[in-house]
Amino acid sequence: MPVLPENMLLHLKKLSTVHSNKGVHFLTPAAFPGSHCPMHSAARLAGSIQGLSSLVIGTQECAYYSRLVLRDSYGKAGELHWMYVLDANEVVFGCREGLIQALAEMDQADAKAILLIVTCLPDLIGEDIEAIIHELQPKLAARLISISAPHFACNGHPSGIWRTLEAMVGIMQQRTMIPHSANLLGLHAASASEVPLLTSLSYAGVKLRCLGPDNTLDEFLSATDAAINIVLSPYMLPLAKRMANDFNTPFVSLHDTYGMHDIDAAYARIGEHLGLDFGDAFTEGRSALKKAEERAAAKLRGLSFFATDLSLDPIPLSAYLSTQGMKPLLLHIEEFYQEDRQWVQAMHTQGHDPLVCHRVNNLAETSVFEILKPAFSLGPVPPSLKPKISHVDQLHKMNGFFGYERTTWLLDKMMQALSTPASDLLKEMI
Amino acid sequence: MGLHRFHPTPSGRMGTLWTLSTIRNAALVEFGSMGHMLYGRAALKRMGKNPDCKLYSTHINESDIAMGETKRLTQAIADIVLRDQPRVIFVLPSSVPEMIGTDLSALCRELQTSYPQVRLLPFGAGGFNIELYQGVQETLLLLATTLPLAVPPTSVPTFNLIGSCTDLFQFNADAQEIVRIMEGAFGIRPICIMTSDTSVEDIEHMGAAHINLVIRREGLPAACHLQQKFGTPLVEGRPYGMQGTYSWLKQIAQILDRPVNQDFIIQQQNEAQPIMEIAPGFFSHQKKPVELSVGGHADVVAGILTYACSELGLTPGLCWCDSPAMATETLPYWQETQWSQTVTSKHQGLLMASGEVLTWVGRSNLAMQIANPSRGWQLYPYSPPYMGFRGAMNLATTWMNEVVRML
Repeated sequence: MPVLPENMLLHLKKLSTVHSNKGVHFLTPAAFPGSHCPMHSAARLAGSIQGLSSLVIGTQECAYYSRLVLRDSYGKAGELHWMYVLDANEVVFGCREGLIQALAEMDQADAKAILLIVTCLPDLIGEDIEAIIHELQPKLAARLISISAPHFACNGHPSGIWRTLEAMVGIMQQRTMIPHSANLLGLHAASASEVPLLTSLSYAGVKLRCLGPDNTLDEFLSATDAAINIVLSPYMLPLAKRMANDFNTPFVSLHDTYGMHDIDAAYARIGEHLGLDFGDAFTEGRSALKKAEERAAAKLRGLSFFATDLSLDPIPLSAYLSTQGMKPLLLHIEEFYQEDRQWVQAMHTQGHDPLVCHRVNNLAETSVFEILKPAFSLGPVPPSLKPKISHVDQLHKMNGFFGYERTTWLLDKMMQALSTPASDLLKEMI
Repeated sequence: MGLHRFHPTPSGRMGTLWTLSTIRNAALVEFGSMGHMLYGRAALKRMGKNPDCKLYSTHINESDIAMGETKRLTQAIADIVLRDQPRVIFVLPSSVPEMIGTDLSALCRELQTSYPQVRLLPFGAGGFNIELYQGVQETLLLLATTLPLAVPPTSVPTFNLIGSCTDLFQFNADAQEIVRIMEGAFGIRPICIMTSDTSVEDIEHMGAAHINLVIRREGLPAACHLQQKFGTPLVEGRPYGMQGTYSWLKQIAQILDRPVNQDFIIQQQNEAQPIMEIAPGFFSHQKKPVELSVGGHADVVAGILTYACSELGLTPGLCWCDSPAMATETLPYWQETQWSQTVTSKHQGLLMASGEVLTWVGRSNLAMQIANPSRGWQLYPYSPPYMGFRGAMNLATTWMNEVVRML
């Protein structure tokens, strides 16, 4: 392995100076393999929402490879997953006419709602898809929504998900609000039975609707009858914000709250919106978290760390761990959300301003670990350093999980990793 | 192009990437978004090849596009040279740099002076009117014109196999069968299996081979160039069927001026005898003539159909190819609208085509697949071939069993 110079990190920015994805630079120069594009995640999502059709607009590459996730052109519930490929002429002069004809054909084939996924090339040539939709919508029965999904505008794939979800608000209609009802946005099915908040809400007679990739288009379109949106995933936040704007549906975010007092406040807001007093329903979970924090305090204080897991929203998590005395050194940012700024500020207040990066080649990162010398990693470490650096993996299990229980789970997992002897880490490596 | 319900024809850029991705001791860097390369890797794995060439992407952002910035490529090449020390780095454009007109050839010429120990090789076939097979052809030709060294012929006869590339369904199995047959019939080994099982060094030594076997028409310009440069004779064709394979071997024997090992041929005939003894009679005793419809690469379709009709007595059904450049009066090019309307669930007779076509018509026997795109993963490395003596046995039994299934 070649030794890389210490100045290999000079191109990275401090978190406090970053305001969007643009400020997040590659940790190492060449992607091997790197991240998926937004089209990938938008297509995957379109394939899982029953009733939603899709049209991938782009080059042969985009169309051909989209079949890796959208395997069937004809879905089980009548969905159409088709593609529009620009030819050499359209690359120069635009694809407006062809696209209008394609959408008319999909409409005739009984598509109910069509998601137009606009990839790099049509986005680059400035094809005005919104204008086409505006012009065409009155003539079609199919409802049209579109997302801009060029990979050159970001590093990671999450914008394909949150943009699709946000765009779906565009075809929602106002419904009569059901006072005791809530949408759970992005709930992970496995955690539904483990979180006391949901048990309490159900016990109080609140009608709960889970909304996520496995729901139907109709379920999404019914979402405007809920009294509140409870946001459990960063991908769902833009949808909640747009629903708040378009339909006055209030929302409370739980996906980015890890600290006890933040969770207390969020739960209290949910209670206020629904007119509920939860009483001592959360005492047990709260107390468990308090004990976990007490157990972890001595070991975590002063511990420097990297956040390398690709599925994490690392900024709010790192802000919480800063309050526990940990020192963030380097964060992998898959997507920078505007709401992350409050957590950047919170971290700054704790005296921390880590470097931010986008990881694209785990084999090339050994030198980075050797230069910055983290004591812990939230996510993978290079194979050769596994025996030396404690780390936790499978953090994707935290997605859709929330509340006191999630933070307790994380702290326990970190403590377990820190108490694993190096010899066991070696065995894991072998 | 326009509206597609099914996979569109892959681009020339994809053909280039797929063709180069198997070359060992090389790295490939694509100037463009990393999502594309990630998908390319996934597609290659499904097609049956874990890329041997190290596949990198630079990624690209709005500023790079607006300013015509190429620093990412420069840095990526520097990093790859330092980290991997490959013999060659293939440099490819993705659609966006192709659109904005990034001159990769000029850039490579400029960078080459900084890396005298590593060959930087820019590839074309990036235009928006270039399709898969043209990309494969240009790539094979560019490899043949740039990498082979001036080497003397090997002391014992050897051969190159030109055109075994990942885009052809079951390329591994067919290449292995040809290697087996050449060893059995002539006792000779390959220098370069271009490109599905090769290295930079193998390509450099292609000029030492005594004969070039070209198994798809896209390999012909490369073989002609090698003939011109090294005087290596060539044989073009895909050997299908027992007689077809034997005729192909006789052509090679004539050029090499070596006899075909008759013991090997007898052994192959004996091995195939239980099948070949039954198959023609089995087909001719069906109530109706057994029709075989075939769609895919023009050379594959023609080869399989010739074997089926001339050696086993099947009747030709619908036949089409998947490239407009290869279409003829007897073998038309069908786009998806044509095949999806003509070949339906009511289709009678045997059908060999891509996994996508078979699924469309509700044929679940994927042993009848002869072309990509595939519905499944081609991961098993020892699948039976379609070409050669074993391919003839495999095809005959597959067709017999398919007739039984359809009865």
